[in-house]
Amino acid sequence: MSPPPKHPILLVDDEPEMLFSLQGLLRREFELHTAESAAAALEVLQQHVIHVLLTDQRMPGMTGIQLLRQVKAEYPATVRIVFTGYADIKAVIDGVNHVGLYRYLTKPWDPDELIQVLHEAANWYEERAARQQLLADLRDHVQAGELLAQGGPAPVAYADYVQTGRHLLQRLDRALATRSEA
Amino acid sequence: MTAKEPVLLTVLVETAPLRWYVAGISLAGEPLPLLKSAAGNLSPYIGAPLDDQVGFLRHRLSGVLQRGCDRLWGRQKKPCQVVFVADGPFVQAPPELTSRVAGHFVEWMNNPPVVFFTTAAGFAATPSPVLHLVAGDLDAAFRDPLGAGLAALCGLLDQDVWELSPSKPQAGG
Repeated sequence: MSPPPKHPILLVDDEPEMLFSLQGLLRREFELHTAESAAAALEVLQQHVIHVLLTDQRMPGMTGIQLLRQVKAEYPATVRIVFTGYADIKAVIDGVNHVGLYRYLTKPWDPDELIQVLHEAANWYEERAARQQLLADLRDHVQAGELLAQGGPAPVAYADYVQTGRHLLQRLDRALATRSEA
Repeated sequence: MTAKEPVLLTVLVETAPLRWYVAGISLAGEPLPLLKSAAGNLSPYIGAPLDDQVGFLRHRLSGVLQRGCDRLWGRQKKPCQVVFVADGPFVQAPPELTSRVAGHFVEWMNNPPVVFFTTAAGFAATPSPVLHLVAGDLDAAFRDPLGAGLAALCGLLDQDVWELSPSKPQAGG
């Protein structure tokens, strides 16, 4: 059995040594992409699907929070985490109020805890993706029901339609249970 | 997740060459040199307004701690106490800069806790540096390991046992 695919994670820090250090910690568990600036990070996002973005706050040109504002607008599914070396309360408020931060981490972090947080963030990405897929499937199902009700050319047999509905209910049940546990 | 050996994560700051060293000290007082910067790594604070000096040094030294933690993690060790030792107050700066930076770390970090010392006579290995407390507390159980480990580290500062950490001093962070 092949191992599960690694979640793609983007690390952004203007200090190459910090990226090197993070790569040493994380490369075994995640598919890593790195960028030394916010602009470079946006280029990576254009080329790859990124599940979790972890960025330093204090960078020349564009801060981490400024980068994440743009990421939220253009890549809303990407889970957003910022880290910083000190308490910048304005950045914290911006992050909470406008960027939808998943976590605000402070240096130094415990590497074991960082790995745990990134796994949780990646799982959160997957759960949200699954819910989005469920929503899309429910929409398709409702549309198929409307066509059946109109009596026109049916896209599915009625028995299949009912069976699909039952499966969707089961998925919805699981999704709601996962959400309440979270 | 395996249990990791607790160590004192120790940062030595040389205020004249504006360079830092980060190391571990075991609870038996054994030194574990990790990384050092090039001279001038801390220089961007010079000439800046006091608040910016504090901000820069907070950020730069937090990164040093982070890299130290990461290197310890790879060796199955984990900091139980952070110890800063500067060989004097930060140069070409208002006198309160050192206490502001020290106070920040002590207030900002509590797990592991931080203590910040200065020495009056640099980092001579013999006799072991006399430490002056700037901020924070040191558990009594850590005093002897710190004394022994610090003396050993001072004897290693000019030896080829440190990984040189590249940096971009002009980037400010």
